[in-house]
Amino acid sequence: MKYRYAVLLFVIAFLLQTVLAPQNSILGISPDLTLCLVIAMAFLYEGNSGVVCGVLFGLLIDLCFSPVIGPAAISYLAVALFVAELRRYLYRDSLLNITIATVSGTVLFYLFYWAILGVFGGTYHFIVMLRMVPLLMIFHTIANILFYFLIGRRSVRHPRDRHYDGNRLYFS
Amino acid sequence: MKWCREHLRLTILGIVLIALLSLTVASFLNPGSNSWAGGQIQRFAAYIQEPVSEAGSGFSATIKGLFQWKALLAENEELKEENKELREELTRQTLSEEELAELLRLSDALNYVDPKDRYGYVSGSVIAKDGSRWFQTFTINIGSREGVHEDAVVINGDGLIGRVFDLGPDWAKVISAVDENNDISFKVFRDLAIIGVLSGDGTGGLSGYLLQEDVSVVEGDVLITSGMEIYPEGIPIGRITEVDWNENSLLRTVTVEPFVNFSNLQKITVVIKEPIGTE
Repeated sequence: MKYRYAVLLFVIAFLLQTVLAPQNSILGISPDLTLCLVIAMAFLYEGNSGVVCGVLFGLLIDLCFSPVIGPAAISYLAVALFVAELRRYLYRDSLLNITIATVSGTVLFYLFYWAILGVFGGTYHFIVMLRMVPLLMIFHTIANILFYFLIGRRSVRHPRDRHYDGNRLYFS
Repeated sequence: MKWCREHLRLTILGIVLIALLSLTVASFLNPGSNSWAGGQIQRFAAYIQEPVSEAGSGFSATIKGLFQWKALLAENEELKEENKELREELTRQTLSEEELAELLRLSDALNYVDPKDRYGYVSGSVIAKDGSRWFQTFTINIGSREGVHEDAVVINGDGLIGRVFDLGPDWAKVISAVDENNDISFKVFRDLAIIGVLSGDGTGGLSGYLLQEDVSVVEGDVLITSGMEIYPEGIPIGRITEVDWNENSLLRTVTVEPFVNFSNLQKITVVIKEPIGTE
């Protein structure tokens, strides 16, 4: 994906995440759309747009909301690198693989984020973080599946393709 | 150098990681001291976030109004009833003019200065909040131009929210009281002689201890700020949900549920030390 489109998507995600989502949260939790985009970009596209935008928008999120600047940027960087590595082992045109990438990326992000904040004076218990993660995994998976269908670049299979299997287009 | 050229991606990655870690350490050692560039970025973000937030609130309220009009009508009736009761209560508790005049004369004679006169109040709105984190920090649309300063206390109609930890001319970042290790000294509203200290307990609530051994508090007691720390006196903090006796420290410990619902903050008030225009 070209950088200008990636940046535009990240700006929209940042505004939705920080301004609109908190007013419409479920159980007091709203999805981290920037993280969803980092995972989607790193998994579905070649290149470094996920890593670069993740670091830049992570810094922006840290600037706006965190007492310490850097934890979100470092965590997004780690997630983007992990998911980009995952791309080598998982076929990207598969909903199941997108779900695996999203779930593992979400868990990794919050573990990293909690650990960094813990080192730099964070007061929150591990259990508090774990309580949020299952709901966030569901939110992020839904967001990334929507992203995959609406924007994501996917292979279009032809019915004459010997691997074409009726309606089971995406569960390969 | 040859190794760096051969492993360019790895080298860039290492440099970025070291830069980010250095930034994290620097911001941890010097909290609230953003660079000029950081301040400008936040200012720009606040400019964009404010109109989007207003539009979003209006849209959200309209949608909720469409689907919840019955509940809103019932809530309106309840509020009318409560308003009527409060007016009656106010009439009962209002001092007579004579009593008030007498009190004022006495306070003049004693040169009494009400501590509350030292504070000013500025109202604002929450324009951005990251709901995907477990801690509660948010950005408000007022800053140093309105007289807000670092460590200014932030409240709303329900009680204590937290304090300002970073600010610009027209924005400020607020961190909630439950997110910090900072101590909040409190008094029990039922008996103002009972005092103690609270701090964030790491689970989104508050916990602390009483300074006296031989006093009794019960579940449901309301706690207010005592005025000994940065927090002015008399701000409601929360309600005691658990009372315990710690045998190691020989102190009575309390767990407190804050009055403020941090997941639904919209309007806030900042308590500033000196009202603008007064010296």
